[in-house]
Parts: sequence; structure tokens; C-alpha cells
Amino acid sequence: METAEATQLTQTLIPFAFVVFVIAVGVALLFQKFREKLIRQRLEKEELKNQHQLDLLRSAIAVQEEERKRFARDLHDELSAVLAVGKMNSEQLALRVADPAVATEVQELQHLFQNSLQATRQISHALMPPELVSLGLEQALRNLARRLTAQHITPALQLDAATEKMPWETQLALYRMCSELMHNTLKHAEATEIHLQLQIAEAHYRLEYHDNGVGLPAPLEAPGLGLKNLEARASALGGVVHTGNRPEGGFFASVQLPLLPTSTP
Amino acid sequence: MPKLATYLTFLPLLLTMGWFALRWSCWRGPWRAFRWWLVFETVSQLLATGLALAKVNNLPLLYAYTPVGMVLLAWFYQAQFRDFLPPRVLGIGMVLFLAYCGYDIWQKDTLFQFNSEVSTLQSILVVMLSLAAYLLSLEKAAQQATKPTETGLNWINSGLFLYHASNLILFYFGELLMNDAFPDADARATWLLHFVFSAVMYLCFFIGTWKQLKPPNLPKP
Repeated sequence: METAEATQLTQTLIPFAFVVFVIAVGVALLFQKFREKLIRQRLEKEELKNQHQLDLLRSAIAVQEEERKRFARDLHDELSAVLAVGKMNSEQLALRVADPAVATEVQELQHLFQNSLQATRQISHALMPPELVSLGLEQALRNLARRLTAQHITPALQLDAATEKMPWETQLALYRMCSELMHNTLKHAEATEIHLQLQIAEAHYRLEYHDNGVGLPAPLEAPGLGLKNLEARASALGGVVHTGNRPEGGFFASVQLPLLPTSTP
Repeated sequence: MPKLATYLTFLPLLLTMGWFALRWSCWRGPWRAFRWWLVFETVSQLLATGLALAKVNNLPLLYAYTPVGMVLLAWFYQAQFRDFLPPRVLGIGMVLFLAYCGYDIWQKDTLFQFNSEVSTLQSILVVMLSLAAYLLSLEKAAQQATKPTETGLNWINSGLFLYHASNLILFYFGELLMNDAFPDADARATWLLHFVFSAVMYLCFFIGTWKQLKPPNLPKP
């Protein structure tokens, strides 16, 4: 090869290699952009899916609460009324019966009406506690805790948050969660103490709960229905729940719910 | 000037190697294969530079550098294509490549010639593999539920793609460029361009490793 030819080849080769390099850079950048776009699209899709699931969860809980309310009202207004009339009639009947054997049966009937009325009232209150509706979350939680005292569990409540200003959804969710937690303690924990603290911290309602019982089983199994309900209720309001065992023993739950605009039942 | 370019080229390579050495046993999957390629690359480059500085012809090194480097890169890509490509496909490809390397040295080139054909073939293979890795990465980006932590690997892949695509033409004419008819200035200019491409590749490795060393990608001991 002649020197002139060699120089000509070099003069062609270098720009050509440079052009190929520029094209390769373009391909790499194009790929990178396309990849970022794909990731963004996928994240947006996932976000939409999550939002949809959250909406479904919220409406499921709202429907459940609405049904509870309706069922509690029906129990209270209709079944309780019928039972009360039955009880009244049986009392009237007892006054007119002369035969002691029949009188005893009528008395049993009276007790039956009385017990049914009491059970109906309890179910109705459990479905939608009247103190939560009329007196607010703080009083409802204190009543819940008082029931534990009867089971030889000492409750310690520290309610720093202004519960009366809380939106109804948050009050109801917190009440249901506390009720679930206390029920779990009562049923599984063999605890003698519970501690419940409710406060506002960093633009969130924060509920801290712990007991001095046996804690969750180790190794931790999949969360039970109660803990799942807890998570679902918190998620529906855009909150989070952390549960586990405390180093000093016992179970703990930490619930964080965002501050929402006030609403009424 | 070419000496300075050589040293500057090595800077990102040595830094990347240093990062890999610091967390030597922590790398998994494709990074483990890439780790060995990086060691081989660093040793080869240092040896070649040492020989060049001592005015000793370092072209015989190419006859080990090209096949061993290609096999290590094939391992690196195989680790990335694990769930998409049966290992025997790249295995057979590498056996054929090594056979061609043997044929080249036995029948065509001598140890003191530039192995143009083998280097060109290697570049074509790496460009194909890197494009396949790009496509695979796009598919993963569209499907995976969590954000992929593969940005580091993409930088490594981009470095290899840029280097081999840009040098393809230089490798093809490499033997001619070594010809005595070429004026020194022209040959030097051409190899300076090669150093620029190498520097870009090593820089991509440096960025890729740096990204991989950031949480949550940081490999744990």
C-alpha cells in the first residue's frame, strides 16, 4: 500500500469510526430513554391499580359499616321493640294466671324475653356502639377498656389527641382497631396489662398499643384475620400498621393514620 | 500525548477494579462473571502497556486476550440471559469462536500480526450480545413488579456496546494500520481514537459500578 493511499484510508477511517461511535451513543441513549419510559408507564399503571384497590377497600369497609349501622338500628328499633312488647305481655299474663304450674312457665317466658332483649341490645351495641356516636371516640375507648378490667386486665389509656375533632371515618377505624387489639389480647395473650396511647405526631394520628402477654408466636406465621383487618382499615385511610413482639415481652401494634378533614357519622 | 492518553484511559479502569476488589466476594450473578473479566482486562492492559513502554512487541498478547476475553464476556452475558437462553447456545458459540481463533493463528496470522478477523468477529458478537441484553432489559423494565436494580448492568452493557461498535471498523482495518506504509502520525491518530473509545467504555464501567455500590443495590458481604 502506498503512503498516499494509507493516509486516504486513515482520513476515511477516523471520521467513519467517529460517526459509528456517535450512532452507538445515540442507540444507547435511545434505549435508556425508552427503558425509563417503560418503567414510568409501569409504575403509573401499578399506582392506578393500587389506587383502584384502595378505592375498593374503602367502599367495602364503608358498605360494611353502613350495613352494621342498618343492622344495629333494625335490631334496636324492630326486634327489641317486638321483644319488649312480648316481655310486657308476658308480665300482664303473669298477673292473670292462677295456676302455679302455668305461672312458673310464664315466669320462664319472661326471663327468656328479658335475656333476648339484653342479648339483642348487646349485639346492637357491638355492631355500632352508641357511645361512639353520641359521646365520641375517647369515651368509647374508655368504655372498651373498662370491660377489660372485668377480665382482670389493667388498662392504661393515654389519649392526647383531640378525638372530638377527628373525622368520623378515623374515629370509627381507630375504635374498631382498638376493639380488635383488645379482643386479641383477651383471647390469646394471657396478659395482665395493656397500654394504649393516642396522639397527633407529624401530621398523623398515632396509636401505640402494647400488652405484657405472650406475644405473637415465633417463628411468625402469616398474620391472622384480626391483624389483616387492622391493616385493611389503616390502608383504606392511607395509613400504616406495624405489629410485632416487644423485646421486653408482649405484643405491640403501632398505627399511623393521616389527618383527614373533619366529617360526621 | 499517546502515553498520557494511555494513562488517563486506565484511570477509570483501575478505580473500577479497586471497587470490585474492595467487595470481592460480594458480587453475584453477572457481576461475578464481570469481576473476572475486569481482572483479566486490567492485567492484560497493564502487561501490554508495560511491554509497549519497554519497546517490546505486545501483539502476541492479543492471541490470548481476544479468546479469553470473549469467553469471560460470554459468561457475563450468559448470567444475564439465564432465564431466557439455554446455556448451551452461548457454549456452542464460544466453542466455535475458539475453534476459529485456533484456525486463525494456525493458518492465517502470525503472533506478531494484529488479529483483525478475530477481533472483528469478537466485536460483532459483543455488539449482538449487548443489543440482546438491551432488549432483555426493556422486557424486564416492562414486566417486573419492582423497579429493577439493573442500572449498573446497563451501564456496563452500554460501555461494551459503545467500545465494540465504534472499534469494529478499526479492528477490521487493524492489520493494515500496522502496515509499515502507514505514516506514524496516521497510525497514532487512529489508535488515539481507540484509546478514546476505551476511555468511554471504562468510564461506563466506573459509573455502572458506582451505581451498583449505592443502596439498595450495594452487595452485602
